[in-house]
Amino acid sequence: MVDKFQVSDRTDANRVVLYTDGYINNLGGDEIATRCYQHIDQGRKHFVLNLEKSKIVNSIGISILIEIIEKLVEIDGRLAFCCLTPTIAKTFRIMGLTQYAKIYESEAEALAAVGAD
Amino acid sequence: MDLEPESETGERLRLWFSALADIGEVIASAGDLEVLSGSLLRLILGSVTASKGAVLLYDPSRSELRVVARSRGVQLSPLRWPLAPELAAELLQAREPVALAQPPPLLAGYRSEHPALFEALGAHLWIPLATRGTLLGVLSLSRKFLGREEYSKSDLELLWLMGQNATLALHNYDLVRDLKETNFRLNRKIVELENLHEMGLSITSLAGLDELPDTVLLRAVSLCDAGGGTLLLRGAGEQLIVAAHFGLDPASIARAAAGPLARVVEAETPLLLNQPSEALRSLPCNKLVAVPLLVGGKNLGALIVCDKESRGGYEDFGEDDVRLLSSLTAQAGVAFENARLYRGALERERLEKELEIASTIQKALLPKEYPKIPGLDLAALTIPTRHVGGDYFDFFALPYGQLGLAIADVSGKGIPAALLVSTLHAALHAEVEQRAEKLLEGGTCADPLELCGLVSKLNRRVFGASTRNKYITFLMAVCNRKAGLLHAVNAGHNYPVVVRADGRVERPREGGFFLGMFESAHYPRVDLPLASGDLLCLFTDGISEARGAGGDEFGEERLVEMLVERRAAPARETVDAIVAELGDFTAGQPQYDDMTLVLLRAEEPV
Repeated sequence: MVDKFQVSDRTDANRVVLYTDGYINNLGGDEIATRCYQHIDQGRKHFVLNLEKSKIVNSIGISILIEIIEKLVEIDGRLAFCCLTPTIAKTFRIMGLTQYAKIYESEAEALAAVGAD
Repeated sequence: MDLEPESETGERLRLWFSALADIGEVIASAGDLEVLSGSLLRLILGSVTASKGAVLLYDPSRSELRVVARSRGVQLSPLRWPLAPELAAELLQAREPVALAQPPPLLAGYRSEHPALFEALGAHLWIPLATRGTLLGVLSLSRKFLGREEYSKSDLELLWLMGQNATLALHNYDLVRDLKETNFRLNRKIVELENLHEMGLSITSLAGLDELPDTVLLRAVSLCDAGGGTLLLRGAGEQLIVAAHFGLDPASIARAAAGPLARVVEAETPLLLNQPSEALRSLPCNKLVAVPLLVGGKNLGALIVCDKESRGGYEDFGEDDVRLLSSLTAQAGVAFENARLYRGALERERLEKELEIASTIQKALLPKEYPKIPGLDLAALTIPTRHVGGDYFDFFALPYGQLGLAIADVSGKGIPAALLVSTLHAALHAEVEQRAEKLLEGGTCADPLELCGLVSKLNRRVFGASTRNKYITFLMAVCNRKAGLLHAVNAGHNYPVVVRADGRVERPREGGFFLGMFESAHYPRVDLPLASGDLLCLFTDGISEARGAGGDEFGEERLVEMLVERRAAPARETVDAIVAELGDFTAGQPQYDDMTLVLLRAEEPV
């Protein structure tokens, strides 16, 4: 299969912004989770997920995102999504992710929402 | 009973309450099974000062125990051990912790079969964790710390109580997990319905038509948890084209669509392929489901998704996937068909507008008024078959009271023919003007426009401007009434009809090739006398080949007969009569070609 998934990140005052590129499926979700847990191990617990370059997500990817959210809830962390396509945003709302992780139009708004310690 | 705080009983009760309260906190706080089990184990070990222990959960579907939590001292591999249902049933009978020194029969046999398990666990007590007749697992405990003392009766009672609370915690965990999974599945169904709803809206919406193939495909891939897919649609020539692709190489899809996948698409029923096959190898992928796009019996193409994902890797596509995709394609097919019809309507509207414009332009090319030359009665008519036709005629008032006439028929119809007519018109007018000026400067009236040279030049212009299969039949004549002469050059056009005043008919046949056939051609000139009462008729084959209801043609003979009969009538009346006769003859049959008629009648010179 072509269209390999990629994730990159940057830190901003102890907040982490993750940028995804590609299909958030089993593999994509695992890569996001791995990156998040690495940051959590280093003491960071506030995340922004910028999904501007991801146009498609499946239920496997969603279940992994839910696990990440549950982990962050346990450690009193925060997560916000930004730059979602309308379809993905609607899917996240229906699947209940937005109960714990809000959706924002821009990265700046999402960063402001998750704040910093 | 002495319940003073300092008494043994009081102390024991306080310990019990404390331990149970701690378990209550664990039940309320833990989210992860391993964390929950580990917390419970540590609590229980600490409460009875056992040195080693483990929590093993029972999976009845696999008949196995799985270690989910263990204390530091337990070094165990593997973590899954078989446990027969009969043994599980025996453990369910226990009403107190099971001492492994004197186990019940089946457990005794199990211990003999798996000494490594019991040795690694340091197992001394097994406390079955059971609820409502279902074994959830066992809590395994070693001897007390350093083996200094045995478990007392109250220890065993506390352990049993804690085991029941631990069972409650684990059962709650299962309930919450099942609830979450059910909630997840329900929400997924809502997502599917929402997608179908949005696809339904796209049927009537004309926005986003260009993105429709990608939208449909991505929804299908996402909803089926597929790794990729493609949407194949039939092109104009009925061949399959790759309208959208995701996660698959488009070149591979195109090759497959021309080969093994074509048969899959032609099947016109949904297809599940979960086993190796030529179609799968052609993409390549390991599993696929293909659903046709059928609208009103028409096979528009197919939606194909590949490689259904699961947490562990991949799983087979099932009937649920077929049903979901069928619902999606049922709506998508209508949306695509509507898009095609809309585009077709837009294209027709654009063409109609173009034809209207071209018609306006071509009408402007035709003479608005006829030259008034003393001694000449002139009339003409052209009826194009579509908005824009390929017939053309024109008149030129030349110096010294002479009249030029031209008639032409371009091969083909519509805008391409009209454009060639426009080229001819421009070239002809340029040549006539230039030659008329030369005539005024002292040219000869014997051949006022140098007709042969003019037509040769037109031929070269048309040859340069037209495509291979486009040519023009053309006839140009110059009438000098005073001299009583008619000169004509015919480039492949219908032979003109000359009806003399006494009713004789002449059909001059001299001429050359169509304009545009060869870059260079020779065109002979014919010179005819023109006396009072003579009638010249130029026409295109739309007149002579007009078909009647019986399929026969109007014919040149019928035209000539009418001309002979009406040779003395004014030209306009004759034209109208011929047109009326044509109308009666064709009796509402569709017109297949342009019709053009030019009549010139010589009158008494003034």
